[in-house]
Amino acid sequence: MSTRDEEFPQFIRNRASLLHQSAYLLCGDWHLAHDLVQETLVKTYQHWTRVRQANSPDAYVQRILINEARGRWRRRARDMPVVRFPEEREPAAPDATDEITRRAGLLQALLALPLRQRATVILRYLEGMSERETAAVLGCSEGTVKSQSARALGTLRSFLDREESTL
Amino acid sequence: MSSLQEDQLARDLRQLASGQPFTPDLALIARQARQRRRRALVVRVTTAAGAAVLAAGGLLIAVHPTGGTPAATAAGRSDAPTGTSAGRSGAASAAPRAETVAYVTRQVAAALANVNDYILRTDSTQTGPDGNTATNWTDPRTSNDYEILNDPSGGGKSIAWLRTYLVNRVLTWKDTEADYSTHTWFVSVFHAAGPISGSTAGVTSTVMTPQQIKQWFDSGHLKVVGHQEIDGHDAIGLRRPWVQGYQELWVDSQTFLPLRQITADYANSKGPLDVELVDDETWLPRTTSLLNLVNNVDIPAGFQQVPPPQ
Repeated sequence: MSTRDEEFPQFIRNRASLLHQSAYLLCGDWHLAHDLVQETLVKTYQHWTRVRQANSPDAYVQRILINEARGRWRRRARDMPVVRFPEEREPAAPDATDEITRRAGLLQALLALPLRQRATVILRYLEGMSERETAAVLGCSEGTVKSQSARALGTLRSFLDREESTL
Repeated sequence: MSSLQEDQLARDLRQLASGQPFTPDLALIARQARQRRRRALVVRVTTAAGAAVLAAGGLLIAVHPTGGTPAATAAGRSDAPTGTSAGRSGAASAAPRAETVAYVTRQVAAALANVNDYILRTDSTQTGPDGNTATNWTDPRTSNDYEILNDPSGGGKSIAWLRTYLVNRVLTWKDTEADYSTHTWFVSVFHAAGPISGSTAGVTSTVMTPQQIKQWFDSGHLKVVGHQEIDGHDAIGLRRPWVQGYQELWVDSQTFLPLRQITADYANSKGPLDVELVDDETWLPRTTSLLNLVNNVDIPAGFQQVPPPQ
């Protein structure tokens, strides 16, 4: 049995779920997320030698995922749904569905972010990566991560503040 | 955003993304990876005439005149030059005569002039993490190819019939593959991104034509690396850079028919070796049984047709 056959299954057992979650937050669709992860894992399998020799295999694979998402965005730009902030919301009485509604709104806000900002938020707050690790995945400087993160959080904060005021 | 809000954001993201389980299909991943590799090789060989010559694993040809074949007479050596010795590789055997790149180019092109008179067998071994072995029989007249692939890294054994043709000047490939691990078969058709501009002569060829090998030789950065014995034949080696490795073509020093092709690529500029393809080839007579084998799809009994992998 080759090294890849031994290492790859173990690697994706540990990573596949988180990759799938990241993919979903990148695209907002479970089916598309599944395709993105499948494509990412095929490429990871094809280039396993490079992946395992990378300083951070996790970061390497995450970069494949984001690049794949970026490529699909380019190819499908005209087909992608346009996500907009709600301009105005009717006041609603707090109930058990508020959390679900709030999170759905957050997803809409997240999907409205430019891809790089979205990826920054996902890597920092879903994956728990440091600014340095995030920079390595995105192929940019830590300063860029900080600025992208600040802009993304600023946008999300304005959304969350609006949500709080309407609930 | 405060750290409390950031913590809340992290919790919300985890909650949002936790809705669907995901179980990766290892077999499908391996199968798709193998398909991609084959397609990449096919595209490489048929669209980049020069670079394709040595890159395509089982789809390229060379000549192995074991025991002497009619092809061996195609390349004379009466104009063999005399002169200073070319460099020799460490593994090279003693060979007092040296040849220039230009001289070898002419001889090999002449040796391949009769390519259509044979069925070409290629035994390929790919080392490295994606290692597999394959044997291909190719009919240069039809550009059809029959392959038996043994992929120990998850793919198992498969057989495939590969067709290359033009549709409105667009290169098209039809791959009929039978998988012995699942007893299934499928047909997959894929094509180049756009039409070919200019002449389409020879573009569907999956074997090395004299023109292609001349282009390869003319591509520059080529050098004679020495001699070594291959299956009882004294061979001259030619090498050129390839991605982060090299390609080598070893030809019989008597007939100038290719004996071995090697493509080596490194994971990065400092190594280690990521992949190495070694192809050993043989010219075979165009017998009825070989023509049937290459040109007629024959799915094994009991195999079930399935959709092609996406």
